[in-house]
Amino acid sequence: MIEITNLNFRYGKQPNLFDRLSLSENAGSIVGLLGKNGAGKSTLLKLMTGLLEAPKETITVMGETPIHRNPSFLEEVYFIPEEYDLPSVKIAEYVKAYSLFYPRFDHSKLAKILIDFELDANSRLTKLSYGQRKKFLIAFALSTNCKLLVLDEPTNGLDIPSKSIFRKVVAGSLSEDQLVIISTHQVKDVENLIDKIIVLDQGKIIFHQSLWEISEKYSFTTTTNLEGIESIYTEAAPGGFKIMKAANGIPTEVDIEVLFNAAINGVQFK
Amino acid sequence: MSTLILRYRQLLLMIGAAVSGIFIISFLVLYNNTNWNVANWLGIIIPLTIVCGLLYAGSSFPSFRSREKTLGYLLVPVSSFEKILYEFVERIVVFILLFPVLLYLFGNLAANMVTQIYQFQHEVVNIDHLSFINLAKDNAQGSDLALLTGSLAIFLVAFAGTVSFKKYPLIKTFVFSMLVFFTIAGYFYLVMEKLKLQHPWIENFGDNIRSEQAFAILTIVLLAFSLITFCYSYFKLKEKEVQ
Repeated sequence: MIEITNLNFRYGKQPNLFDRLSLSENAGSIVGLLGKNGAGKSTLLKLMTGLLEAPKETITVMGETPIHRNPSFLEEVYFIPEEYDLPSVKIAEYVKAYSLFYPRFDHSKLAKILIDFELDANSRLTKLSYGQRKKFLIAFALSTNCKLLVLDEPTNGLDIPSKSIFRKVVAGSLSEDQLVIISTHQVKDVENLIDKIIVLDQGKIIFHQSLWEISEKYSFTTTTNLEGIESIYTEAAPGGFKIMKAANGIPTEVDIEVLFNAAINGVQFK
Repeated sequence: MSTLILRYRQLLLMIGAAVSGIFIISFLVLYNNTNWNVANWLGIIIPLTIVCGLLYAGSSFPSFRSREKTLGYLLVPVSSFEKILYEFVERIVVFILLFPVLLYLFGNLAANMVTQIYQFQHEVVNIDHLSFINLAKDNAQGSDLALLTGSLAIFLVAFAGTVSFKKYPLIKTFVFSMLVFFTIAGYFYLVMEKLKLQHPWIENFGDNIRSEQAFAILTIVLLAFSLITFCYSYFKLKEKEVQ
């Protein structure tokens, strides 16, 4: 679905943000895009959705060049940015106006997700809190049934129960022909949701594996004493240490935070 | 249709503002000028049309005034041509069709009210009502079309500015247009006057041409200019990015 080949990109006269970056991703996954501040996560999302122009023939999404912004392409892409602006209309009016553009829009799915998020279709969008507006956008995005859903910091502004509902509705609303890319700093919020991780650092993708592969190869644990432990990566944590080590046959839950820190700190993964 | 659902409040407010402006200005002018013939209406119509048209066309593409709105607008699954065509129709075509109707209705309402007020005070007034047919009769052949294409060209410049500039597009477009105009005018002034580069064809141009021909040439030039400006706006929209 997404093919990026040797992408070089920079803003104006600034140094290269991406240096021969390559990535291939197919439908049927929920991918977590992680990286430090300024690593270029939002820029990469904008390049994928056609909001920024990439050098010729370096990016294709669903076989199209995103920057052409053909209606047939845009009908299959929904992007929730970190910062957004919604008009001063009721939810129902917004849905009436914009659902027309998405041929596979599912009104019953939207109604169900709105109930899950405790949102009233007669609420005026500008009267809602930041988190409620974000929940509405997530509900709308999922109801479009677009093949590519791009969510930039989707859990920012969501309260604790809503984060759990977010994971539930995202996991329960997708089909095999869809690809979801979630860029976030709040790794804990998407820990049981994503099934692949991409780590972006210094203009390159330094890690790109499925959680399934990771849990087969590595185990994650905590300890108070590092003596006698053969770890691949260790970091201090309150009361002891977090450790990543080679798997010993017993699968453990992947600690994405530790995994991310390991990748950023130069650990070589198999 | 979708845009109308989302923008109907702003549109109603703008129509309300235009109606109030036409009525108040017409009323004040007529109240102070009780001897008013049809041709005098041009003094109200032209400035009002240009000012209101520029303000309206200069607020095209409201989504481009903020980064967040731009992002949402560019991702609406509609082609760039459809987007620009919709905006052109809403901001320029509808204005050119609707504004004369508002002028006619509310200009004449003001004329009626002023006449009634003076008649109530037993004073004699001579106010001609606004009639576009009568106005057109007095004008030279082809001037109406030239006026229409001239308005279109001016509005399209403001329209192009809204695609190019993020903040204060109307002011920036005005400054930029003035710069271009004075540069070209200055260049020709230098060529013609200072360097004495005179040519009989240029010198006799005004004497050998009839007014209808002059208006026809002007109309063609303005139409070509409008088309170029529209194309410029289209390509600007097509290559728009969100950084």
